[in-house]
Amino acid sequence: MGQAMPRWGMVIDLDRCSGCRGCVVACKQENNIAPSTQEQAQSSRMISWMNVITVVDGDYPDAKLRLLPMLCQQCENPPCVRVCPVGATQKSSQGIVGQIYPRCIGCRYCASACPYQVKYFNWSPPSWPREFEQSLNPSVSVRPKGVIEKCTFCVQRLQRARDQAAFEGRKVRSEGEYVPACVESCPAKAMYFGDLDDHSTEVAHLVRDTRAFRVMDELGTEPNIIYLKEST
Amino acid sequence: MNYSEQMNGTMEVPSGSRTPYWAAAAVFGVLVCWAIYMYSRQFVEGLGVTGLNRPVFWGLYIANFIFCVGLSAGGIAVSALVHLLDKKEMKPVAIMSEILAASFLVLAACFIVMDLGRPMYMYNLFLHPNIESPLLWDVSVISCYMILCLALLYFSARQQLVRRLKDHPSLRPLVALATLGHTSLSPASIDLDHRCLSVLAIISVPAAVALHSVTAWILGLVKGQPGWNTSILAPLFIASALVSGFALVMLAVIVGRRLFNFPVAEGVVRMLARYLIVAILVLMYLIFSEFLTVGYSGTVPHLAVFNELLFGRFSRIFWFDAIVGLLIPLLLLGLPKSKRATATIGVASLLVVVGVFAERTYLLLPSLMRPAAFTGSISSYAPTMLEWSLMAGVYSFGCLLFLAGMGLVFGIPPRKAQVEVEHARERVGFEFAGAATPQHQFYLGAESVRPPV
Repeated sequence: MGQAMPRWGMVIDLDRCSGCRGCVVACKQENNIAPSTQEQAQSSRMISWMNVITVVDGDYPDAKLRLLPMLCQQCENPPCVRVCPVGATQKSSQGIVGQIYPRCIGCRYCASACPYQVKYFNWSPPSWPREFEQSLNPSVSVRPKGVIEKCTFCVQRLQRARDQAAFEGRKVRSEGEYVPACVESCPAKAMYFGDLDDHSTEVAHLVRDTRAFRVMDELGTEPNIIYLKEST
Repeated sequence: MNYSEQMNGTMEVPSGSRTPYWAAAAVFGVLVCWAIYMYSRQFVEGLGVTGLNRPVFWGLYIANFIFCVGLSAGGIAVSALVHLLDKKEMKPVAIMSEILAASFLVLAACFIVMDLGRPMYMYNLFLHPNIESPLLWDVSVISCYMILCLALLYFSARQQLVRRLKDHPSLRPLVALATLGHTSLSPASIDLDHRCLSVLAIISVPAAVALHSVTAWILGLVKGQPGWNTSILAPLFIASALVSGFALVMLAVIVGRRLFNFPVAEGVVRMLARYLIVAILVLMYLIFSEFLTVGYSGTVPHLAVFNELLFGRFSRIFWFDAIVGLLIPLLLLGLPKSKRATATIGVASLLVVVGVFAERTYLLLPSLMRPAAFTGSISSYAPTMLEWSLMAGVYSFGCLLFLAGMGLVFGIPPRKAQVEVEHARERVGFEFAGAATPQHQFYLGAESVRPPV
């Protein structure tokens, strides 16, 4: 266990990702994200904190489909936090970039400033089919219309883990105890999660892999999501 | 009206018919009400009623916001110019520019509030300000600038307002309100006005630069947006503000001279036209400089925006601005004096203002609408009927502010027929004065004897 504050991070092995989008569904279930209507999808207003982006590399017949699970990159140096006029998006001491929904005025500056385009705006009030309403997660707030929302690394799970750890008089374990829903659900085990600053964790080990890269690293945002490039 | 009333010198000067003005105000009022209704729909249903989406988070409202802030900064630039040059015959132009500047700042505030997802939580700007955010800088600068605008307007329009009381005593409560009760016309208070104005005019130049630079930095300081993130954006915005501001004031002078009792010489428009030519040339130079840099050595995302602008979906807007908004007005304004009618200058100014609006949209939108980083997927944005309605409503509100401000400060000119009647009366008066009996002299009084024009 690291001495200082943990730096929670994720490693996604693109060699292992099968594109099943289990992470997408798990994320929506965990975080009370309303299912999108056809109209929302057509007008590019879907909310999905986790997306699997498909990139077609090359032309037929030598085309190759590449997959890139895209979620908030949990930057060390997040552009969205800087620009928010009311400080509604902030980086916590645990390194997680979160959104304070009650404070957000809905100016969408953070969304325009995010180079990864992973901040989502509530264009209309969220609505669920009646059967779904019963399965809403009580630990996650439902966001009203007019606010920005984003991936929080399932901060409610961290909270639960911290409560448990505090009860037992210890710190949260660097690995395994706190895992976001997407990582937990991945059937191909393509996603790893843990404290990047603790050298004993698997993520810290994988980050040093030669295949490791970060998206748009040239912008200096220093994401805490690290991808492992496909071998071929 | 009997003869003695006609000849009475203290009779109220007849002003023109107010009917067309009330009719215009009614039309604008209806448009404002329609926009309020439409806004209530947006307020209840959310911003989903607009054409905005992900990643085109900003659209028509923000383009209009930038446009209005620019016009406000440009208006104050004209006013500062007049006060610093200290040309007496141009003072009415300064007053009008200040009315325009204050009105457009109000409109800018309307647009930014309309764009918010949760306007009723705006108080968080005061409770939780994040001083790192350019948007917070902008809110602060706009607030200070509004005070400056109103102060400038107050000191330059005060005397004019008080003078109007002489002919229109019925305006007294309004004038008392607008002048905050300070209705003295003593040399000391006039001198005080003058001194305050010269100080405010000097402050207002850096303030106008700050206002529009900060607005540019809202876009320019965002690192992930290739079309915005350029240091030339602030100077470019300033140049656009000057261009649109000069053009708008010229247009307003040309129109205002017909609508209001607004004493301005032809030379003023000519002088402003010269400044406008210089401003247009500077703006064209800045745009060229930016485009050369990007076109010659831009990175891939920069070039994507550049292609959208020059050859892609925004090419029509871009070339419209380049040709109709900049080049043609430049040629019209540069015509030899003999061929340059006021109407020509008016058309040129109108084209320039429309061109700058086009420029605002093509500086804002292509960056948001460029092909997505990984997938290359194309995003689109088309403003909805509701957005257009709100835009029309806000500008109608601006027209109302302009009508009210100009009507209060300058008043409506007497109609042509009435002017002739007045002249006729004066001639009659003189004839009678020539064959004056003591009784007639009593009726004429000292004030009614005006030399014929």
